[in-house]
Amino acid sequence: MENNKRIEMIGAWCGLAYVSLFGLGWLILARFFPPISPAKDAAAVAAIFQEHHTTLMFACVAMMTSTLLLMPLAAVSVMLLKKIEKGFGILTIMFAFTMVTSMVMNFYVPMIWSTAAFRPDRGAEIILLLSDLGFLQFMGGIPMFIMLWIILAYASLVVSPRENPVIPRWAGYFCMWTAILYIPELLIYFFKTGPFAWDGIVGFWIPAILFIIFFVGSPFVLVPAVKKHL
Amino acid sequence: MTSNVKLTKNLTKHVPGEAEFWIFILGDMLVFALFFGIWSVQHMQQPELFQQGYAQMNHRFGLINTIALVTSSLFVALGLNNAKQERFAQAKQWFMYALLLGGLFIVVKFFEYREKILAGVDILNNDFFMYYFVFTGIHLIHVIVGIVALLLMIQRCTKPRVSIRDIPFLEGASVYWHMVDILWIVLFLLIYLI
Repeated sequence: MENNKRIEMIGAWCGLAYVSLFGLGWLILARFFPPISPAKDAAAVAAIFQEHHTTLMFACVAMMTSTLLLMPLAAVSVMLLKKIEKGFGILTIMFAFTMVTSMVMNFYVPMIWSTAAFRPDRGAEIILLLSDLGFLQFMGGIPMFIMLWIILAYASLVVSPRENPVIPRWAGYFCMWTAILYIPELLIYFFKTGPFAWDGIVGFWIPAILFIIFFVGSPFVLVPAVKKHL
Repeated sequence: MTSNVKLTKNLTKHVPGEAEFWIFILGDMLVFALFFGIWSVQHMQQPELFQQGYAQMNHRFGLINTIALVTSSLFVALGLNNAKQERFAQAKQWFMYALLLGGLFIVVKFFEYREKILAGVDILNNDFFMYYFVFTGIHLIHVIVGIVALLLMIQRCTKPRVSIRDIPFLEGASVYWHMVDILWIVLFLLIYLI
């Protein structure tokens, strides 16, 4: 039991560890900040994958590996939701599902980019296809993960009691806000330039900043919650 | 009676709704401020395109919707005042009027969008209409959320054991509806008038 508690505590910190490892790949190695512009043609995109072939491969491995860190985080969150719901109710189960689909996506998107970087000498058009597939999926794949914030908001604002809640109410409102701001991500499928493209303000910067705040901030909510409620 | 007066007095000193809720309100307004900035920059960069766009807007639809939202905001405020004095039946009535006007907004928006699409505007390649549809569309999502909030407010007022303890929820939802109204007024000014 003591040992379990320790793993739970590690899980509570895993959001920060996850975003650090994922960020190492995305930000520092791949330098997808902002991402490769969807307005670039095949030759320009292929050139990026050819020139940065090795760093991109390391970036992909870092991002794929970060999936491992989502598992303890998911488990701890599910356990906390179970506390809020007082048992394995529908919210807990839906939350568990959405964590699973998020993990699948978190692995397969960098996996697709790694395929592009694996044989950089292949045709530019094929590299462009793989690059598009990765970005469209990662930014536009919100049905795979948006439930995360909707359920957290609902559980902490509606289901939780106001006194001594497992997740503080401000965090619930933050999740509600995040969920709403992720909806316009679906617009990236229609634009190659401007604020709604996957490198624009609405398509990239707002969601990216919220993503970072959410995971960097997660231990501040989860560590006290694990201490008090698990 | 005195205890009620005291409660109401305390409530008016509070941040309306609950302090945490303002994270959401201010955050949302920040994002819309960004949208308004994007619109203004685009307007400066493509003045001719935007002039053409303005000429094609149907001011009647815009005006009806502005009046609908401003009036419904007033009704929500009147309802909230009634609720604070524990006249929940009257409060419910005002919230229902507000709900009807919110519904009217959505119906008018539907006809406005329909008119534009039938006129064959090129949403993907005309920046004016692209921003018009996306910004008003995101605002429309907010209106739909507001409709749900109004339904919940009406439900609260119908509850057999409704009490002064329900006021923070009513206040929070009212603040949200006022925000939706204010954001629309700015959108109306930017898209139809300037």
